Amino acid sequence: MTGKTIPEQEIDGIVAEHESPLLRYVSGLIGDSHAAQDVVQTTFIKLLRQWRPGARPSATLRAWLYRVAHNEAVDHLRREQRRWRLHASHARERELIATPPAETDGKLDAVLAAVRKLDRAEQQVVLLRLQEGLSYQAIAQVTGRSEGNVGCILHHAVKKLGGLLRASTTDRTGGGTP
Amino acid sequence: MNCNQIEPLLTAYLLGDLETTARQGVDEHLATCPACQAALAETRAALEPVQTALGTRGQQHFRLDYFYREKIRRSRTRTTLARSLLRIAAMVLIVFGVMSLFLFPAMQGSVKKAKVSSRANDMRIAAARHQEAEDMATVHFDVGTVRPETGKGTDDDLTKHKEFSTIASGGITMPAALPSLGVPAASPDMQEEPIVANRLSMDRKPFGESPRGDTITGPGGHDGTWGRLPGTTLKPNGKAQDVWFDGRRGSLEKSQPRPDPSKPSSPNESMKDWSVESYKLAMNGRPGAGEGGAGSGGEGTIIAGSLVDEVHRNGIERRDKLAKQSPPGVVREKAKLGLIGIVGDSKDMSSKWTDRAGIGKEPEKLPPAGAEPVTGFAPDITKSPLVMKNLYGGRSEGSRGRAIKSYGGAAPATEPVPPAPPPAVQTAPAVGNYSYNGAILSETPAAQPSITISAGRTHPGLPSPPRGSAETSRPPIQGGDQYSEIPSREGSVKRGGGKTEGDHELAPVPLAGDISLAGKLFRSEAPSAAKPVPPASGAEVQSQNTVDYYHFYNGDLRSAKPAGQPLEESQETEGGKKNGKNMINKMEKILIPEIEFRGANIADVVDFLNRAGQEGDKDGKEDETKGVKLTLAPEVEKTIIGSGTDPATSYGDEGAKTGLPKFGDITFNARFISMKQALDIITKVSGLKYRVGQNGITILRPEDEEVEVKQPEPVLSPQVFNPVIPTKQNAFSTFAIDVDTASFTIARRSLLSGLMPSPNAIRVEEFVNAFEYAYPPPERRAFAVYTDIAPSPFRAGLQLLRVGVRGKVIGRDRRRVSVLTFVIDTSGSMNMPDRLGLIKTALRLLVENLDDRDRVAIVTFGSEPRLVLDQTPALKKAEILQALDSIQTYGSTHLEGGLALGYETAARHFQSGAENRVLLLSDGVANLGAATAQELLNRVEAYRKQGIVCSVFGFGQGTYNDAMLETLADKGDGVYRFIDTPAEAQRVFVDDLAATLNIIARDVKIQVEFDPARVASYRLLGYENRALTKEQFRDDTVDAGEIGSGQSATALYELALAEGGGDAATPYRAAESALGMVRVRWADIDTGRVEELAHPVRITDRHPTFRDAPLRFRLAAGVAELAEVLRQSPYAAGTDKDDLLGVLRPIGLELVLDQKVQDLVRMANALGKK
Repeated sequence: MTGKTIPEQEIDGIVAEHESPLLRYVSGLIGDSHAAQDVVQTTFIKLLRQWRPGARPSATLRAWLYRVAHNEAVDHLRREQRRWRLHASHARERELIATPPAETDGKLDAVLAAVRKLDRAEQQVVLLRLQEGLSYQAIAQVTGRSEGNVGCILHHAVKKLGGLLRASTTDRTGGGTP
Repeated sequence: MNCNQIEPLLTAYLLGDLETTARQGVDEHLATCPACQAALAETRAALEPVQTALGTRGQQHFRLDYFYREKIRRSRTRTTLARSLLRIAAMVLIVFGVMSLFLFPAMQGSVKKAKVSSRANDMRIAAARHQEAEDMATVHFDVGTVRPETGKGTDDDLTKHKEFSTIASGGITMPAALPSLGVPAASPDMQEEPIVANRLSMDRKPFGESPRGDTITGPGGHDGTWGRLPGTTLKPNGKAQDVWFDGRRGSLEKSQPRPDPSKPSSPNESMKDWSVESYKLAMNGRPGAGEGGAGSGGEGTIIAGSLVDEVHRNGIERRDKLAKQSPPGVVREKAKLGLIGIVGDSKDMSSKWTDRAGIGKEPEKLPPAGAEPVTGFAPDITKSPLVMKNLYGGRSEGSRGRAIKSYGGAAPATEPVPPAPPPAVQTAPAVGNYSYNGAILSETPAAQPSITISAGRTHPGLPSPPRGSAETSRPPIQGGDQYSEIPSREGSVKRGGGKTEGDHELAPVPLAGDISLAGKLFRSEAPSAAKPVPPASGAEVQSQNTVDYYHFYNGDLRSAKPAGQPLEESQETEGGKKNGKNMINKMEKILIPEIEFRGANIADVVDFLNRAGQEGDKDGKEDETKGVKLTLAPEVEKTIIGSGTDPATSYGDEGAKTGLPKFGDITFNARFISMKQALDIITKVSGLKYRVGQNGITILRPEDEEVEVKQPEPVLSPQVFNPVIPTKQNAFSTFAIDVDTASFTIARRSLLSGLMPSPNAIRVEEFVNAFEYAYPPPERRAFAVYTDIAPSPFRAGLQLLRVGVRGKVIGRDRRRVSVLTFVIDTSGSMNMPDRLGLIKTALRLLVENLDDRDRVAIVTFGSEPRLVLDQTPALKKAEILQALDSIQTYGSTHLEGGLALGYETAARHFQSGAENRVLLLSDGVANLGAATAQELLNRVEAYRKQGIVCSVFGFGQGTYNDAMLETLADKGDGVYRFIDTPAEAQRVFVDDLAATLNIIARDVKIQVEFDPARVASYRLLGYENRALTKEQFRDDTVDAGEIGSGQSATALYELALAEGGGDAATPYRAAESALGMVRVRWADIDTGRVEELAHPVRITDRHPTFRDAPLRFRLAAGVAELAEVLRQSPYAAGTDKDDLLGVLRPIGLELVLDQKVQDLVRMANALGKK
């Protein structure tokens, strides 16, 4: 495999170009920055495995990376799910035990939390469009859906998000007043 | 386009993502369709926050961590075998590098030690030169075998001497004819492992050919016993003598001229003398051995021993074998190890031996006993025989000289170099002195510390020397004239029938440099020496040979560090007395630079010693307690005459009236004495005695023994157990709520440090409430009540009922202003990292978390109360923290005064509507009489009625007055918390801040009414001291418990359910499923309104088996049972460790992250098996 060694600068270049959006995207999906690092690392390693000598980053590289990262993230979530279930009850209890959470501004957290409640496809589209600023065409590439479909999904996701956010804010204000 | 087509496009439309045609279509439709306009508005509202939030996030940059990046980089090539080999090689290199880092200094260390005795090197040189000059080639020394005393010579014993190899080359000569040994040539196997210094004579003729066949006898001339060198056996035998070093056999052979300049030795003379090259300084405190040091010696006198580094078992066997072979009449030394040798034609060695001081003296100063001066006693301290080997092994004169020089010795001179006098002799200045009963006593410094200490002191474990020799046993002072006799032990020292814990073997005064090494040498013998000390039995604490200890060192000791580490080995020997022993050891290590008392009274003296102890305790570690706590027994305190700083007080009068002896007027001066010595003197001078307790040293009157034994015991409330109450007799169980947790924290601390907590200190409710049960807080009312039932896992047939009450949570913004007055105990006993140190940490945390509106005042109390910081807004955090940092400990514990000043301050700054609170932080060691305590409680209660509450925070394990602190908090409507770790401080002062400071309800009472038809009997677990009568529940004047914001309280009942239906006259017929009713009654803190709440206990709350019960129910059950077991409840008599672990372990596995739960499992594990 030594013959296929990619020049180090090239790897660094690719990583530097894509790491930030990928990390942002993945951590948006799974809400755990450490796990996100893992996922992104795996994504890049997969990329390098597929490298052929003389290959150059193509226009579709970004879409490919998003797609792989998404799949990795979903895998990660599935792996974690079992553990989650175990911890969920503890987490709930901890919430009860803990003193009231510090009232941080936390809008972003609220939005991200809401995003995480969406379907996978919806999460994907919302994050790619609204956070990463990808075009419908690019999103279609990543997801393998048609652009129209992407638009549809996005719209429904936004509506859902609106509902979720409204609910969470009333929750908080309502909970605060006895 | 219709609405259905338009709708999904709205988001894209808003985002501007639509192509022109599509957008136009949407625009057209929107203009006409109000429904879609509404949908658009809705979408916009939903989209906007998301877009803003995610868009902002889209600007953020993330980077992979270095570790991950590297992994990616590496993944581009497969790791080859060569690479991994390279990596392994690199690791190996690193490991070696690190090891050499550690080893190198270690080697340096031994080199330094080798340098310690340049004098020995001088002598070595002289010896070597002389030897060559005289060509003593034929002399072989075959003194014998060092062998552990029968039955005692275990490896264990020997290894205790490990570090203390002392090899000295003495200027001791051996008789040329090696008659006594009567042994032929060195045995071949001896040649196999030549060690140490023997190389020098390797090329020489075996001395076994000596014509004479006589025997060297020891200086005692009899079987046995050498002056102060018991415990070793010297066995000459037919072969070259074997001295075991480090498990190897070394043979020592060499003759050396005595480098006595005044008496140049002639070959003939020196031929009579034998020298053993190495000798042992070990003084084994083996009683019975080594007493017969007297007696004129034969031709040979063995002086010093070898150092046995570590004797392997096979080595011992071999020596034993050799010993058996040795001819009778040979020098037989009952020294345990290391021996010794020497010799000389000493007719009067005995006197030298008895005059132990002589050992360390310069030859010239020796009593002209007719014997040749014993020189060469300067020890050469090396860690390893190898050093010696290098010095001598086959080197030419020149290289040897260089080698010696490199070890700090002098280069060989052309003439025999006279041994330099021991350094300590040269520099030892006048000694400390002190006046004792009016007489001025001077004590000599130990002339040569390394020897004198061991030789010059009488070990308590050793039999006393013959009375006649008492005087000579003391080191004569250099120059003689300053020396005056110290009262011998028969003097005015009271002797008790037995020894007490205070009667420990003498420990070295802290010594510096080689001196500390000497201390080490001496101490290294301590373990065996200490053994024979019987447990405390008599009243007399003065160790009988206290007087012998009064060696005051001066001069270079000023910079002395306490000889810390070497002592530790011996500290751990006796398990049982460890505590007291540590205390003694610590006292011995504490060096007081100067003491001058003139007519001081004992209280001042004790105060001084306490402070000196804290200053002098230089090696107290962070987690250890620093200093030694000296306290006066109350009886002593009462009898203090106002002779010192105190004017005549009522105390003095009382003492006069009752005719008690007066303890005062202590006068003595000393410099550089250890705290123990000082205490010994003080107690003797004042006619008092002291007792070493677990937590400190108490000074008491000689006659107060029995009373004082109890003194250090924690003061605890007596034990009461709630009985099983048949429901028909009394269906109501009423108690005041309690959210304290101190009992658990205290018990955790002692259990996890290996001590069983006192059963009296266990309060079940505080155990249960130390844990969180995750009751959801109430939405509207002040309280929510939760009940559930499951079969008891510990007692078959019984049900456990859990009653949980949780108060509402007040947000931070709704917190009331806190006006806090800290009353901090700064008595001497607080000067420990886990007390005042922890308090400072805790308060710093708390202050950081206060609102700007809050106010803080700080009062400290030691001997007298002080207002350190008057009411200051928490806004000025820096000011508060500064005041906090400035707090120092001083004096005794004037709790009453401190609280009084604290309340006064709090009252002055009282803010209505605010949280006015006095927070007492103390270790609870208050010397309060019962009357004072009651007065104090009354005061606290009076202030509480005015709205100032009192919370108590206990610190430091020890003689805490647990009951007192709890009652204070109870009366003061506050919480009682025990804080033992910074983590606990964090929890109490930061996490629970809202609850600690924000009481939501006071006088919270709980009443559980059981339906007699369904519950046959019940027993409440805990809350014994919170019990109320049925009527008191509705009596709102009764003081009860308080609950802070979000706090919960849990009570457990053990129920026996009734069989069948029961009679009809129950109040619960309507609610068929109710077993009973829980009522909570409280007074709202803001409105003062009394409210009540009822919650039925439903049969549906019941879980069919314990395993089905919720996790936290099981936790509560386990915790309560642990508490029951710990307090030895008769109801839990059938529960053993396994039962507890059976419940707690699964919980521990589930709540892995909960440190407290993990601690709980460890606590259960720490229980002894029943």
